[in-house]
Amino acid sequence: MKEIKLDKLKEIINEILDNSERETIKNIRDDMSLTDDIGFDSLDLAELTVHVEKVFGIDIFEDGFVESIGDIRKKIGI
Amino acid sequence: MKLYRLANKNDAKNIVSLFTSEGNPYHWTLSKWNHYYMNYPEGKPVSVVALDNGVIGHYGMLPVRINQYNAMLGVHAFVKKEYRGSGVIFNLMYLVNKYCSDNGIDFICGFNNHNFAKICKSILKWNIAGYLLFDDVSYFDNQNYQDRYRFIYSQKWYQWKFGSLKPFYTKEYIKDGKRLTQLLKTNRTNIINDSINLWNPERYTLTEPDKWNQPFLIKVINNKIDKNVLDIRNWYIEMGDSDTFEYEGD
Repeated sequence: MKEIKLDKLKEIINEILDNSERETIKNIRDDMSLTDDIGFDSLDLAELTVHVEKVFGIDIFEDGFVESIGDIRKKIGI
Repeated sequence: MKLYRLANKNDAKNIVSLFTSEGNPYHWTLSKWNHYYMNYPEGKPVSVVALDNGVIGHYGMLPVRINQYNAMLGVHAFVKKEYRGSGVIFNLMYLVNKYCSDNGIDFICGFNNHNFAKICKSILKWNIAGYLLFDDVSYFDNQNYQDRYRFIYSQKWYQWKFGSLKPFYTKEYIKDGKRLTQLLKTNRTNIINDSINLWNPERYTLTEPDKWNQPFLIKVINNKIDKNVLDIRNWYIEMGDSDTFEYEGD
């Protein structure tokens, strides 16, 4: 189940990257920074939170800023 | 290690440098900074900065009166390009929210651009109250909107904003090759013009229209405010209420 959710998270990230014709990622790791490693800016993060909430039902920015994949995993419990 | 704090007069030069670091479309100068942050007549403006070997982020607020509420108009949000997405605006807004909470501010409102509106809604938890549609009308009477939420300014503000006291203020604007007369602010009813461009109060919408529009956002600080504040259809807003529309004189 966790694997499926992690794949879904990767899919969301890649969809955002792909929409603006940026290189998608093959793997995701907890220590990956959303900005430095994945290349997200604030607008991408806004899009990410909307998609993640739609899929997982969790608002990842509800109580603090998320900086890494690990932060998101903790918030959505995977 | 980034530092976030209230700005002071000594930061002005560095803030202006930040604003002009990617071209200067809004014509920032020290004089313009002084106009907003030293000479504003409706109370004490607030400027918060993010520092990391210099100013890397800024958010400003101008005190405004909205009917019975003490509010702030959020202005001049800017984060240096290489720091975008790293939480700078999130931390600036944390400081802004705390300042407002400590100082009896009921809410912050803002005429954010569409991208910043998305960020404010999703990440910073602002409410998009709705969208102001730019509309051409041949007749306008503001009398019908007197009971709505609105920006209430002193005569000093009109002097500060427009340089003189007049019944109404307009600005010429060219869009898609077409010359428009924009109605920035009016104190009188029954404005008649061949064609005047304004945010038509009859056409404020809760969902984003396809046509040229301006989002209007609200960040609630005092949870006891009337929830009708969060619905743009209960407002009467003029272009001159936004800092985007700067009067250039006749």
